[in-house]
Amino acid sequence: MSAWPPFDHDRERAALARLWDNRPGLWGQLTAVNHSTIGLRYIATGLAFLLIGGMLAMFIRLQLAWPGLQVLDPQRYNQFVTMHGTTMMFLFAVPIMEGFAMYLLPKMLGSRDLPFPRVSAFGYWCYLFGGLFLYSSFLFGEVPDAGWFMYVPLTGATFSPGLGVDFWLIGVTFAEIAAVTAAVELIVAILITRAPGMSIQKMPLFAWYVLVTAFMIAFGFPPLILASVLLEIERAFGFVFFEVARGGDPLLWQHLFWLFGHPEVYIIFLPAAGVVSMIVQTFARRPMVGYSAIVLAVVTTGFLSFGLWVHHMFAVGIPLLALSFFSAASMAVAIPTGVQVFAWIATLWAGRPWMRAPMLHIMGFFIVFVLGGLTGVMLALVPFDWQAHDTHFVVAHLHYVLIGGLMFPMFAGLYYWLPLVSGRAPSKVLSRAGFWMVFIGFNLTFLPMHLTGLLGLPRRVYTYAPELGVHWLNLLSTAAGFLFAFGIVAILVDIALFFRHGRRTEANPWQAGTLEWALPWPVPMYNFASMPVVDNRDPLWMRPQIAGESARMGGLLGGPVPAHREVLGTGVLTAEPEQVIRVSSSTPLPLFAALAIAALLACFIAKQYLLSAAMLLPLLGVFAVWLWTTGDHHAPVRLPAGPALELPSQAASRNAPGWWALVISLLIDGSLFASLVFAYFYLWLGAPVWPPTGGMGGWGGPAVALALLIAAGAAVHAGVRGNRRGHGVRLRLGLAAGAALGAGFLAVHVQVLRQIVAAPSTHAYDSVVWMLAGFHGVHVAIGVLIAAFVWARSRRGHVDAVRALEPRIVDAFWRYAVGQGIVAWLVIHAFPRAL
Amino acid sequence: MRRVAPDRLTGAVLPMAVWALHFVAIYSLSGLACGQGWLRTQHGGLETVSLLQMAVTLAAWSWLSWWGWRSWRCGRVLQAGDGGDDGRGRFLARLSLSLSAIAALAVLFTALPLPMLPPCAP
Repeated sequence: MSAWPPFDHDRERAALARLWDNRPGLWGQLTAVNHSTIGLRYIATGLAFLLIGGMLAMFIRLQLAWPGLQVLDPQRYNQFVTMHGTTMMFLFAVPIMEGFAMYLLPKMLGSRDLPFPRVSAFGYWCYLFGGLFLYSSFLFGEVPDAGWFMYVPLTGATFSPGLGVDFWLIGVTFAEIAAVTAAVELIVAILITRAPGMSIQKMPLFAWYVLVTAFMIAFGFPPLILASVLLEIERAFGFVFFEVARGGDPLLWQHLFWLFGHPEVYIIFLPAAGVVSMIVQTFARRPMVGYSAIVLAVVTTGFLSFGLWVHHMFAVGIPLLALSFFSAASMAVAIPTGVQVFAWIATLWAGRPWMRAPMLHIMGFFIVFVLGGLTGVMLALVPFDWQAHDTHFVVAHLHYVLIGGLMFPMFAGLYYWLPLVSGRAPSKVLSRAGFWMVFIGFNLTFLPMHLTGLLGLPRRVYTYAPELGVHWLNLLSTAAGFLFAFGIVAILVDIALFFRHGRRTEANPWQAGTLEWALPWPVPMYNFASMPVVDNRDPLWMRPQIAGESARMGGLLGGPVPAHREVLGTGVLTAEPEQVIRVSSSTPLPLFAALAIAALLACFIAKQYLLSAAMLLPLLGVFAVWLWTTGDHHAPVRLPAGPALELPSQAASRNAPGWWALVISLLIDGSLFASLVFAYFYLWLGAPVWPPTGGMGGWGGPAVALALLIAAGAAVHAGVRGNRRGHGVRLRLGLAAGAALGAGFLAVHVQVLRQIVAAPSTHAYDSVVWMLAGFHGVHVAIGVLIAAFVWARSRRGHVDAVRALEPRIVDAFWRYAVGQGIVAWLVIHAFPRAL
Repeated sequence: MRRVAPDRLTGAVLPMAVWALHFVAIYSLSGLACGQGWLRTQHGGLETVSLLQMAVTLAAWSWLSWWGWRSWRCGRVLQAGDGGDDGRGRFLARLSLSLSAIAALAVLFTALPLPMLPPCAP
């Protein structure tokens, strides 16, 4: 391979650093989009929420230390229990693992950044603002108090008339935007930005874990988002989904919540298990035993965990046979988990293990998590669950699973990777003392709860009768809880101290094999000066010189520095270089977008609905500027990528990140839509007459609406085909016609529905039909906006037959919107007539 | 290029998607029978709904066996000729074969109570 034309390497490396560095000062922090900054921010914020959630837990433990105490009054107790669970699940566990993935993956995969830096920053702001939104409920004295799973009818307008439930629904959904955007970002990063040569069977295991987790978020979070939206609409506008008197069903909430809630446990556990896999092989000083078996186990867990949700509902009166399906899946999921545990043990057995701070926490993980898994299998048995349901036995089980499955691996991960971030080593004394306090404190807190639960101590109740005979065990739990808390503080203090005072370490202090350890310290914001080329799973063990090579200019993307940040795009399976992806630099747009959403939601909770709707304008404005300026729309079709190598820019590439983002976003959207269709049929199942008023009218109106929708999609498609042959005018004509027909569909369909469906507050049928039609209507409206956007891009000459990414996206979106419309049409118009 | 085959990512995970489809299908059939009273006629001691659920199970099993066999063959072919893909196809085909086996087991495990329990007894 011939070399780049001669250039001054030192000067260009300095230019590369300038290009990738955040801007200085506070403004620089507010506008940062780089994955290192955002990832660390997620981790720091997650740890802050851990401390807050932990403090709430300490109050809970104080209240339960002895019967009849008055540390918290019953209402305050309910608030603290609710906020403790919500904080730990939504504001600590999920985001902190996303932070790990965001910080580490590009480094581990040999890339410079994630493919959508603005989306990373946007997700972070949504997470932070969502969390603050939720906690602002304390300022207004309207703290959510209905439990972290917010069961209706307790959370309906009748029994929770205040704003507490609204703070929960809106705040948590706001924060969930971060999870969903992170899922898109991480999937695309893993699929198309791996180092050349890192084909799919050579990915680090952590990437497999995160890939499966991200897909689980894509399918698991939408049911909860939908449920939250439905409940908020029911509370705010009098729609009916859960209220029995008007045809709703409270169990619908439980189904949707746990359809999210159970996969959520694995969404938390899998990335942590990915951390375990990385650490185990490094400290065993040998490659993982059973790489394929672990991949198999992770994929299997990803699927099976979606068949468990009803095991949270064993006590609600579902027929036994149906319960047995979920019981079977709940037991089956222990098998892939067991496969992973045995692979880790085998790796340690076959290697020469090295006991350092990260490994201590891994050992803690093994013991605690396996115990939690075993009580999980016990609870998967229906008769046992009926006995233990809603008691402290379940509290013990879930803390063993979550603290074992997340917190120990997380501390192990912090100790393992912090030398990479700080260039320093932790203190031996404090790190060990912290671990033992956490390990002993945790077990003494939660082990007795198995017993108190079996003796009948219920969950979520602010006190208990002395006659139950569990007060000594509770006192032990409380005392040990404080030891546990001190341990966590000790670990966090240790970590904070070693940033400043730790002993300096050499590069790669644990002698690990994966690419992140090829980076020098301090880690440059661009990670690698030249893209590393790998040929096995542990590149640093097999070819240590890769560290030096990738730190020098002159390799892939290591030539004279262009004006835009560039990431190398590679093939999904092969990881062969395919494209040069120009990504965005620092910008305030993500912050502005999140602020606009915060303002919109604040107006909503204040019941200023018109003002809230008006906030859509600035939001759409910010998104329009965002889209117009993303990447580099002036980029030539082909860009220099390496010595004598030119590759297409993303606008001209088949596997463009934007394309994959669309595919994943539509999967997420499809899951949201499927949840809504499920809600429709679930409500129908419990209804004696459907529709409640009987008549459905003629076929004429619905047929015209459907024809308009299909014509809109066809017009857009014809325009995009024209573009492929180089006819920009035909593209614009097709888009304009599609947008007009789409608007026509919306107008006609609303008229048709007004004739056959009553006001949404009449009956659950009317609510769910309006919701279904409205959901699809929003998609058509978005389709119209995208068509207008691409029309303008074509007009300005940013789109043509070769730079065809945007037309491909608008075409695919419309095909999806038409497909979704046909399903919605069949459900709304054809199904009741067929009954 | 074939888009869905055992040596591609989508094809490799397809068996688990079939497990999920099977799960949704039998649970939905239970819902129809118990919520709306459909498919409740008796045939030789079993209700129509149970027979249908067993038929779905059989269909899922047949498909998984066929796919597992295809994955095994695909892996053999790729092993015989080097394929020039550095073992990638073989890795995916093996993954597909193992997932077919696990999915088949999980389908069987889920469906095991079908002949033993009445469909709607609380």
